[in-house]
Amino acid sequence: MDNKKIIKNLKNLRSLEAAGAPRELWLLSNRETLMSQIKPAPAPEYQAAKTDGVYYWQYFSGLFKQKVLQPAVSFISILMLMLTYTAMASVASASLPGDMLYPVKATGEKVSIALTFENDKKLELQMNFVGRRVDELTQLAKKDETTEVKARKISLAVKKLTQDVQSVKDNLDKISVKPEDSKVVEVAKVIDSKTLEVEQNIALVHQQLPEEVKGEVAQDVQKAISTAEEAGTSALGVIVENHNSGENKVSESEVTSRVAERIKNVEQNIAQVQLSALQVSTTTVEIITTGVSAVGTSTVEKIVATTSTIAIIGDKPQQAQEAIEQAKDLLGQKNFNSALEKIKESKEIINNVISDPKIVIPASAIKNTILNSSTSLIITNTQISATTTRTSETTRDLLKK
Amino acid sequence: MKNPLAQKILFLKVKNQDPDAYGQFYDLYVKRIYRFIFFKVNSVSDTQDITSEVFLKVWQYLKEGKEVKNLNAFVYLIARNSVVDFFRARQRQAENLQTDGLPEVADKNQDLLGRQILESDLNSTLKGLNNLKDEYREIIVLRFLDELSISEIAEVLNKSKGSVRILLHRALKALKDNVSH
Repeated sequence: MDNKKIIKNLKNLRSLEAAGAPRELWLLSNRETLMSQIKPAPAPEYQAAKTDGVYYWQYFSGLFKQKVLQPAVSFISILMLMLTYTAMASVASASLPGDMLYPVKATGEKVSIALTFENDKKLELQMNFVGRRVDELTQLAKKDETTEVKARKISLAVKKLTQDVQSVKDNLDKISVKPEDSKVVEVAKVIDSKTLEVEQNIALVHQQLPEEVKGEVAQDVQKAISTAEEAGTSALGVIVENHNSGENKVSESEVTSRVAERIKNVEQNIAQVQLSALQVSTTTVEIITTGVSAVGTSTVEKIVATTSTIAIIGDKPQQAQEAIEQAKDLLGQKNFNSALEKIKESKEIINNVISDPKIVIPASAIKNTILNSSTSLIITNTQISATTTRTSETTRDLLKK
Repeated sequence: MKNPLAQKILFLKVKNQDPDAYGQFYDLYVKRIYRFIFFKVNSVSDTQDITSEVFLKVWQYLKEGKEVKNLNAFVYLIARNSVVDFFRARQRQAENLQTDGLPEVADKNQDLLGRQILESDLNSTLKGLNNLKDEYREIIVLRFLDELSISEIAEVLNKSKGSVRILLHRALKALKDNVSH
């Protein structure tokens, strides 16, 4: 007989009286005796009041005290924490700047970057995140919200975008000492192309914003665009260096087309600055010449705001255009380094025009502008907030005259 | 009781000296404890006396507010001690039975068994069980008839889990030998 059979037989023995099965009658009488022995002692009141719920609670709280179950309980707790985090992270991945869970997303990205050790992979990842920022910006722009909230959120998104692009540039500058590193060159190519896309996308989103929001975030947008431009130029620098070092990882035609693309981009910027300046200038002049009394106080305020942004930039756009022309010539001569320098120079001039709020037109100059209806003054609409206080008085005086 | 959670709750009620719960507890355990004692003393009247005593002792112990960790193992422990007390008392009365004088009792019972059950596998298993030494029989009853876990048996017998496993292995082997001879 094998073990299984023996064990089966042993279990079957239970019902046999000979194997210790008690008689039913005795069981019952014994129960009665036992109950009569234990029942007379009345249970204390507090115990009588106990419901089943209390016992269930006692049982579950007892589980936490058991040594054997402690690791299981800790394991389950850790598992629950992890699950909560994963759930939160997946919800956070869809969050936008200004949302409650957005910091979770940002932290997650920072951790991913910190855990990536290869330079090229790190840059690639950072560039992906820049792509996410652009998506966020696009989504925010489409959202239906009050001007104030929208402006605040867009401003946040644009600032985060600028920050991310800046860190791409910083990283690239740090590692671009070795242009012969083919992997880095590959990433540089990606950055070069993507920054152009990013710039166009930001500009596009900015164009589509409602007028009030547009003005509010203009400065931030401009900063983002110029940072992207700088990062792109740095990336292009790495590509050019690689080409010059004779590694031949990048063909001459490719460098030419990439530099040409940059030049085109800067030219577009110059054209845009000129255009928007002319628009503002013309409107202002028109309003002022129609006369203050005719248009009412609210328009006066508008004029004050707009006029206060008038800045003398003289022939700056022309200078920028000249630099770009030189860059084109140098590109024709295949002198990529110098061409790149000229691009940078031109870009710098344009940036100064856009972002320097200190160049403010004096009252007399505005008066001349109005009298002559001249469009020689270039006005940009990006300095509204920065210069309002400084020039509003001057402008008011002028308007009174 | 099939539902382990319900059983745990019942045990908690028993520990909190709920008489009705203790009644249910009695229903749940009386047959097992009875059998456990029966295999030790091999007399129906003695088994009945000791069984009644065990359930009263457990209740009194709980009434004193003493802590019982594993009620399941605790009832067997009390039963075991009661049997030991029973044999001691007998010894003092200078009767012819000793604590480990079970083989004799078992032999005495052979006729009774023969009368009650047919010659079969079951019969030979029971015979083999009765012919085992006390220590082996006890552990087999605890493990396979009463289905106590190894750790519960260890608690009842005051042994380590390892030695319970070894003992169980030897007991099963001895039973197998008894049955096949």
